[in-house]
Amino acid sequence: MVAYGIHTEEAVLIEAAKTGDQEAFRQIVERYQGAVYNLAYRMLGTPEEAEDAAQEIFVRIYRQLGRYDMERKFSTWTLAIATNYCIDQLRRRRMQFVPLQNIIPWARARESGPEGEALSSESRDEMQRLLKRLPEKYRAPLVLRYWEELSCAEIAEILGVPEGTIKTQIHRARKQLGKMLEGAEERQDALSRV
Amino acid sequence: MRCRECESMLWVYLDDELPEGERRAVSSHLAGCPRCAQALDQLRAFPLQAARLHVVPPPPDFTARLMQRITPLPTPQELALQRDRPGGWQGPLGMAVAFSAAAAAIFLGLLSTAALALAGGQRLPLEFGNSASGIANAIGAGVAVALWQHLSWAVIITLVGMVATLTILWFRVVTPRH
Repeated sequence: MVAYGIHTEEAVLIEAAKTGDQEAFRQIVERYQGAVYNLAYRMLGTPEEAEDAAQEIFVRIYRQLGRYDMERKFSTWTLAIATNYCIDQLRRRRMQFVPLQNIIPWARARESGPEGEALSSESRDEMQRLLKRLPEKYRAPLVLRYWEELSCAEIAEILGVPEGTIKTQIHRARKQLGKMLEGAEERQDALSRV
Repeated sequence: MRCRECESMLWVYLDDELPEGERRAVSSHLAGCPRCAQALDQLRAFPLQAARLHVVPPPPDFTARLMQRITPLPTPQELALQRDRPGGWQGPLGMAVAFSAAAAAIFLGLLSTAALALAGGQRLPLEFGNSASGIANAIGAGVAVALWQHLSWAVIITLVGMVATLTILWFRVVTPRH
């Protein structure tokens, strides 16, 4: 029953949750809700979507828990379900509608000028603003690498692509972010050294 | 090492993920190249470092609301058993049902088209009467005639293709395996 050394306590919780111990599952949720919610927030962009997604992800984790292979690292398995769900949501969203500001650049400027942004909670989080402007395919590798602190090998396993691809994507994503940041600095000096 | 080569490795260098040999090569290049050293400083100042990233917490009632959805569900073990058990829409029975449904749908479509064509092209004989069975007879007879006259091999092959496509669609889209 004991699967992997360091996290034996977690292994006990997982085994209990598999047989329907709700308290054990609640403890697992407590452990991972931060990581899952943050991942969804970074990938999908708004707190509302992040919460709906995180709820759905944990229901999926519960449904699939019976088939979880104890040899795998639980955190990676959990984040894989979460990432794939978010990628799916992004794809679905792309098929359904495109927000106005994505088509007409000035629609955004009108809705929220500098004043509007200062009031929104996101303005405190410059990275979130930049992430939203990044191509979707770069988001998952970047968020998994820097917010969830996974290795490139783990990210490659989660996304089912070669490790080299992940490294390239992260490299390009950072380059783009760097350019966006430079642009922001030019416009607004105060932003630069936060 | 050239500047361009060095520059492409800077992020990995900063993450401390370069193999020993390359790491040393980048280090020695940086020592002698102010331009690359400056580029490295810029990367260091970039806010993509774990300590500088803002992790947003979920709302306080997150777990409670989730557990409300979890409580009525069967245990994960039972769910895994249910899914492993062949049957339902995914076993051979499902295949048979999907196949017959697809075939029936196409057949019905063809029948109504044939009946319409027949009704439009020539008047249905009135002696079948107005009762329900009379109408059924009329359609049946019309269809038999239409099928007899129009079914060729090309149509049959198209039909088989449509049935196969619908069956595949059923398994890929309507009841996909997770």
